[in-house]
Amino acid sequence: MRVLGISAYYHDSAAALIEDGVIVAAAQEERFTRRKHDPSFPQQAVKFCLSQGSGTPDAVVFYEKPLLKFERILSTVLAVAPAGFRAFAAAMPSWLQSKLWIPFQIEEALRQLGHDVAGKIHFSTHHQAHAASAFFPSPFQSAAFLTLDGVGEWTTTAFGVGDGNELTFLKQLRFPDSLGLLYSAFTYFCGFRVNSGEYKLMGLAPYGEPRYVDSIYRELIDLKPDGSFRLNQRYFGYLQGERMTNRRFAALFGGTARSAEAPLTRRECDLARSIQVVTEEIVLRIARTVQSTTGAENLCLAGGVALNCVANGRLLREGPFKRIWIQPAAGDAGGALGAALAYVYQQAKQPRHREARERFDEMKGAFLGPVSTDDEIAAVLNEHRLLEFAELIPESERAQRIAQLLANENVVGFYQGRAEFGPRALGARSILADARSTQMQRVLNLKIKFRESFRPFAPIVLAEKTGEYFELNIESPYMLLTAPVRTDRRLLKTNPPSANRSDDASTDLLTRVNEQRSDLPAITHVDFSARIQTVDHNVNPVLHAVLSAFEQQTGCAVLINTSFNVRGEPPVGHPRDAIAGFLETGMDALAIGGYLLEKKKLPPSLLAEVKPRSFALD
Amino acid sequence: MVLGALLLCWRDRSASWPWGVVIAAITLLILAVFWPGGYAPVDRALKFLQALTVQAFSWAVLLVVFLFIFIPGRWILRSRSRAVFCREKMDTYWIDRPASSDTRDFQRQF
Repeated sequence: MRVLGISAYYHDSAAALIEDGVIVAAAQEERFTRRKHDPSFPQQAVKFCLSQGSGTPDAVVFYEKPLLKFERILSTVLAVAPAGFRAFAAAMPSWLQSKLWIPFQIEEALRQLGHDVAGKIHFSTHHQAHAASAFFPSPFQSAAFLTLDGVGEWTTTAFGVGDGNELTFLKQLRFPDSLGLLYSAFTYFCGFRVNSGEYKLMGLAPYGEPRYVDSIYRELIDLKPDGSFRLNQRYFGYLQGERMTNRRFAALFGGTARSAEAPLTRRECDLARSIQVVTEEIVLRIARTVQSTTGAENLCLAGGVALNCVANGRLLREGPFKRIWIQPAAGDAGGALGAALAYVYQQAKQPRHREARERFDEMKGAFLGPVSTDDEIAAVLNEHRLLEFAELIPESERAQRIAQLLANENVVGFYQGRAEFGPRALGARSILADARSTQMQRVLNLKIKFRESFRPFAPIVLAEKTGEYFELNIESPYMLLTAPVRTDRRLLKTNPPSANRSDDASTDLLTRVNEQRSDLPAITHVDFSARIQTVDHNVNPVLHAVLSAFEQQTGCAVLINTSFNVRGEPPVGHPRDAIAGFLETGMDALAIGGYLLEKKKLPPSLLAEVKPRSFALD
Repeated sequence: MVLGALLLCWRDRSASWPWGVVIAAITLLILAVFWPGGYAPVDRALKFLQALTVQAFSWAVLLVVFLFIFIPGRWILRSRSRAVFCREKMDTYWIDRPASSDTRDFQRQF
């Protein structure tokens, strides 16, 4: 049985294909269109997924119920009328033109690709798709599941039990009470883009003090001991649709929202820290309720809030569950996969057995996207007149050569194998660098990523060596957990207090970013935490070989791994994007398939033709 | 009338200046439409207004729908809206999922 899942029309549209219970392919549309968080119908992602299958799908499943969502939008407008007119006017054209006619849109799109799926269109609910994406590919035969999101149709948070091929929902919270929207409101207020900048707010949090926590609990949220909560809508603007927060919110936090690109102040740092503290507390309380209600030992997580790896780390350390598993594509893109899986197991009742292989999940390391052969890469190199300068390195020597470049503090673009599905670069479309370098964080931020300097980089570590560097005793293959750098590797003993910091945090952030806090300064955040990806030989043998070679040469089994993109763009998709990224930024080398390009070996005349990269705000 | 409206804008910029602009615009519109005999600047203005009207038509339709359906609708369905969006303080905000959950029916769009 072939089932195609589709998510679209909000953000991060995607497609996924399941064949006989196996995840064959999954991809986000943004990787093809180069438009970050592309919400449009995922025509190219669908085309790619179907190219990996063996025929026309038996069912196509959309990741939410459009009419339920439409009802929620109309009810919201109704509740706040006449204030919601702008939101109404902005939303209606797209609903009337496309979102109400999704079956026809899907049929037409697939007809153009040569597949007749008339009468085969199905719909899961939004949180059902998230729950299915969390539980069915997990290594557990039975587990509790928890979905934490902005909003789907009506549900914002849900939990229940997964057992075999069954998902049973037990409790939910409904719009407008949403942890995702609460976090997004602070993201907006701190000058970052909603549905995009939440991870920046999370990265900013360790620089601040939690001095607004009391205000949040007193005015914004009525949080119960069981983790359920109600948001005080007097402070928010998202029901009216124009802004996430309103004047009362601004008055509560001492002034208007920060505009994008304005200097960061102490207030934004403290707000980031405060909402992070509140978020972690809510997640922990909910987790305890889930455990006491279900009695489960294992927990599966999905939904946008599940990408908050700091909260996940606390949940792992302080929460009631023995094991947790988080869907790597926890956001809406993963909804495509979840919708298809929900149909396969809940509707088609295909059997599901996980007992025999509890160590590994069914996500194949999240390497579910497109791959380019060496011949295809050679053709693209030739287009760019680069083939004569590229070395085709035998596989036996490749890891050692790349490790050597990294050991000499070169920044290496790493384009290998199938692309990742989900927001994290996990070593297929990555930029690698030496985590021991004191300059590397600044170099990567300013010359390659063109982004704010306060944000930390994530480490990759050989899975078998994790405990030598970090206080983490489980695998973290999807970079969705933070854990502290080991105490004996720290050079500073405490995170310096913020009492002496100036109101303008920009200089303070720069000073603190450049402090050497451990013997791995480029990946150690100011609170000594790191967002860890463990690399297992069975999941990613190519990256494992590079890390092993780097360890042989330097004695260090850790590297920086950051997504292969520049600010405002999604990670690279086609080899052409990778080559452009290599040429147009300060990257030193590009390992693309079997080929290795070094910038110092390129003729100056060729480099002179390259236009410097401009970037969009993200 | 135009001058009066603009004066209103000038004197009271912080509060009711949008109304001054609206009054001035409506007055100019009336003048343009009913100017006896018409003349070139008015013709040009009318062409501009015609284009503007086409653009504005869809917005106007939405506004009419909004005013005539949603405001009375809100009044009629006030109790439901209140229940959904202005919930009372409770001991817990968890809601049970109904036994006949909609997650079982993949055919329905609702």
